[in-house]
Amino acid sequence: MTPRLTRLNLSALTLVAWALLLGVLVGRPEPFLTTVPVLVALACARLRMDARDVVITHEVSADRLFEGDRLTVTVWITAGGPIPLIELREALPSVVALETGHRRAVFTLDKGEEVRWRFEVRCLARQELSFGHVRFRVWDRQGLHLLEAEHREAKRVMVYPRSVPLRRLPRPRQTQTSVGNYVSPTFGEGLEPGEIRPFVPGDRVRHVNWRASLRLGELYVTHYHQERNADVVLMLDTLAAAGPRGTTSLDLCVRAAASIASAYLARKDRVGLIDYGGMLRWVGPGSGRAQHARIMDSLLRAEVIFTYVAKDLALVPPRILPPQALIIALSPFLDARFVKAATDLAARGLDVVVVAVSPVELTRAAVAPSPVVDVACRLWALEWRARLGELRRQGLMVVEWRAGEPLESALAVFGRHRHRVAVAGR
Amino acid sequence: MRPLAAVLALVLVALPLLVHASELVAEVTAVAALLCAAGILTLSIPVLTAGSALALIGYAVAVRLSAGPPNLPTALAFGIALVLLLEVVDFTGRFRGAVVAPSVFVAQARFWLKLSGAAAAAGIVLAAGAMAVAWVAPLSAHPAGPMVGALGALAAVVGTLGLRLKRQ
Repeated sequence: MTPRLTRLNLSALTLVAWALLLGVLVGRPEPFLTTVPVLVALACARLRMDARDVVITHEVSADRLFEGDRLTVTVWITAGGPIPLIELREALPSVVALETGHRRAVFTLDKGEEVRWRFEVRCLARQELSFGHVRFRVWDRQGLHLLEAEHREAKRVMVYPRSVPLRRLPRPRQTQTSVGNYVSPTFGEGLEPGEIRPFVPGDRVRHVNWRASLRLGELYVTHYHQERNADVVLMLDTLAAAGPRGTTSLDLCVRAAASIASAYLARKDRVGLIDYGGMLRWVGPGSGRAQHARIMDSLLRAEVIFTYVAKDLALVPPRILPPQALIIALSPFLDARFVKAATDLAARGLDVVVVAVSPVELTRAAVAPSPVVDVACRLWALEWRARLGELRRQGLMVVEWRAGEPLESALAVFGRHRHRVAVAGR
Repeated sequence: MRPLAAVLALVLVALPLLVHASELVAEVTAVAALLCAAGILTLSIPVLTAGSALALIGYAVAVRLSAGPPNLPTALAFGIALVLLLEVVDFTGRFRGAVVAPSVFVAQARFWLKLSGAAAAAGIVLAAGAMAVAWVAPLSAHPAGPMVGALGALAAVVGTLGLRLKRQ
């Protein structure tokens, strides 16, 4: 709380002094009389109140949102005593845009009166936002006295990366033991019919294939394929990023990771996450809604932490990186250390597929267009594609995903390619 | 609020010309009008203060050149326009870009009307008091008299503000 006089006092005082001086110089009473309204204003100015007379309550409409969602901020101001003029201002994070209303408001309140101030913001990018820091100033009617204070009522709002529904995903080569959506080659309890064979003692009656039994004159049973789940580990490159704030290559990778994780978890697969960057962090494979929340929380905090140290994937425990897991690497391939890590995993015999987010278009969108920029971006794009070609020659399955292109169409290429590989492998 | 400030500035520069229309007064008030307009457009109180000070010079010159008896209503109107102009521009500048509740405008307009009334009443009382004092005890025409009075008034204003600051 800082009560003080404003600069307007100095202006008023200057004019009073000037009028008095002029009155003396011209020897007439009128200039003296012109000072009377100014002096009356100065005499009337008073601010008899305390910051405790202002009670502020802060509310946000949600504490968990997705990128692009709207958040309504409501501030209630209650006056313990009469407030001539109160100006409120809420500091907004840089990754939100004001949609409706204003973040500065001015009110006048009588004793005990309550007013509501509401505005709406759009959350542009994933982040853990903090609201509830309201600065306010109480003025007297003339603006000659001022009382400044602030209200802190921390309201955390998690803005998670927006995920898009995906129908076609890279199919894991190997399945696990738990029940899932993938048809396993092994027979057992399941829905997918397999071969038909003669009935032997011990077979269940419900497996008897009556149509075949009637045609062939003896009992036949149908075998069913087991339906199993798979382990999928998402490997996120947080070593480097390019592009404007809110749509960096890391943001795109995080959105892709969120979409892919949500889609696999919906198929009852176990999904894990490795944040490969300045700090090596991971979320062990798991399934269910709790795992979805864990992955989303981890993706929310994913950021580029610069380091010269190459992180060794040998540090990652085997339970985090199971040998039969499908590894989906998401990267703009700006840092050679991530390329090496991905090729190392493939060399170990792990099933690695790569989603390469092109940083060229993102960077081009962030700089002013010019012929030099155009040539530089074209050269960079050629170099980047050459790098992806090198990865393909090393046996990695790589798909290029550009900003604005649907993720599903990019991943569909995986489906066709892996199907061809599977057919060739038989 | 800028149109209201423009009207007040117009009053401020027109009154000296109404008191005494001369080339000198017109020139001074023209410069004052320009400065006031700049202050209103940029919502700058220092520029507006400079313009008001020039308007005061124009008014002082006008009353000096006019040989008639003291015109107290004009002086009060000039003072009221001056204080309202300062307050309106300061109010507009302070809350530029903020959403202002309609009740604020109503309350502020009511307050400014009250302030004008109080200032007019105080001016009339002071003028009446001065006339009474002049009738009871006529002072000599020595220039030191009003100078001492003016300095005393200024010291009183500064002292009051200083005391208020000290209290805070």
